[in-house]
Amino acid sequence: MNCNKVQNRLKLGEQPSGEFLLHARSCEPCGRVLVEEESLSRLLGNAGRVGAPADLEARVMTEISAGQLAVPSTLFGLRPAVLLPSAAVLVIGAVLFALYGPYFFGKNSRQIAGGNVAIQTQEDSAPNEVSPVPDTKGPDDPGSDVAGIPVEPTVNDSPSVVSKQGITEKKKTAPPDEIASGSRDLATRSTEPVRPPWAGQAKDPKNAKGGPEKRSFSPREVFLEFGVDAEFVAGGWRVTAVKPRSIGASAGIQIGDVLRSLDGKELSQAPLEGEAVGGKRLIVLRGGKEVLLPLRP
Amino acid sequence: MGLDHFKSTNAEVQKKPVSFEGVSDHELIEATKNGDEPAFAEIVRRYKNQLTNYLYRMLGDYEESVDLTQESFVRVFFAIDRYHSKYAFSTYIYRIATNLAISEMRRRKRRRLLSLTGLYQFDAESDAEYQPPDDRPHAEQSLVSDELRRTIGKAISALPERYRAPIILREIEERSYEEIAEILGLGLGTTKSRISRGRGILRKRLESYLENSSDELQ
Repeated sequence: MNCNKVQNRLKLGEQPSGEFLLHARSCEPCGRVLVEEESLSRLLGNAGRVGAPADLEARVMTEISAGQLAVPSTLFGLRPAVLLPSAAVLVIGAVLFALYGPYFFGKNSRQIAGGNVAIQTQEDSAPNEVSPVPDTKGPDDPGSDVAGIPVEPTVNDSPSVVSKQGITEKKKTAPPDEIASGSRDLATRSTEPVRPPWAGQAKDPKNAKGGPEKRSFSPREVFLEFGVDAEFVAGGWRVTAVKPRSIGASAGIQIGDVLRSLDGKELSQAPLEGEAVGGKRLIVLRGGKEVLLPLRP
Repeated sequence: MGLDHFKSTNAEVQKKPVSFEGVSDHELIEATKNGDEPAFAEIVRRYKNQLTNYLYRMLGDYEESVDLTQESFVRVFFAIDRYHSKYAFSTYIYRIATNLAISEMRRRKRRRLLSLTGLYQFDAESDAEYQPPDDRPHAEQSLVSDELRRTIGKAISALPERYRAPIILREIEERSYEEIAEILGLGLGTTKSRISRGRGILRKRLESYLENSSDELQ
């Protein structure tokens, strides 16, 4: 008989019998364990017992009759202490979602909760609302609002653009004062996703073809983008100032240089197209020689 | 006159306590399912002392243990249709009581944690151990001093949660290993291991009393 086996059994508080008892009596260490465990069991037996109050039956039956649980009412196993904060969090979450959810989850539409302004995109509109003829105003023209109230064209009206399906759409936004006041419903069409107010203006507005929007800049504006100021002289633009650590300074433009051409286009007083801002090759006249300066934005 | 007499006789018959001697727990449950409330009262009578004692040893608070005993019975009553007779009723009700006791212990822990942060003023008096009078006549118990009884009670109450329930069920409630495993939802090996470890902890804590007890035995 293995002592470990006997002692493990004794330590469970079991009364040994048969060969276990014989071993415990013949083996001194196991006999000691037997005495210890028996005394522990006896001691624990002295812990005493408590009884239930005499009226417990009556209390239980009364409570059953009343059909009420003694514990605080629970919902899905959750107590009010847990439920109330959870409900508060859910309500706050729902309000935030109603206010800002469309900016994150809605692709092209926004409903301003609690106000009277609804901004609707082309995709949300019925197909017959799209005017097949550009710049014509009919009953379905976006110049009329949902309620039939005509909306005056504003300076925000953008030119018509051609969608991929070849349907001419007219982009239109409501006057800001009308949106702010929420005085009436407006149906406004836009092919661009609505930007949240905190996001500011789009950095790279796209046209219908997806390329950068073409804008014109005066040459001086372009030079200022490079950190260079210049004045127009015969034959080009003479540099009058170079901002330290600017693109122009990095390219090696010096005061007195005459800027002749940018990306092969001669620099005059004529405005430059938007792409010029990203120009790479600048030719300057320095000491009677033309020098090519690479611009690295 | 005759009708009144009949009514009073009928009322007496109804008030007369029904004897449930020899009726098994399962039969009582079946009767309860059929709307027999006295059958359920008999179940309460059979188990109320065992449950109160078990919960008292688990929680160390008599009032709380009585409340939870009451709650256990109420829960059993309202969920009686979910009870399956393949398990012993004692196992079922001990399991409910154990779950309630564990919930209560966790609630106390949270309360203690809150009292540490100053958000909740923990009532020190409520933590004091209450020893209800034990009126059961028992020759041996009368020899054991109150101090020893209190010390044993405290040693059991101070056991870690995982060892306390198996030790109480085994040493005080004298349940079988299989039943303890069922009540606690543990494997048989785990149950035995916890009992053995729990006894080891108690052996250390009650060492001085054990020496006296061993001397008495020898």
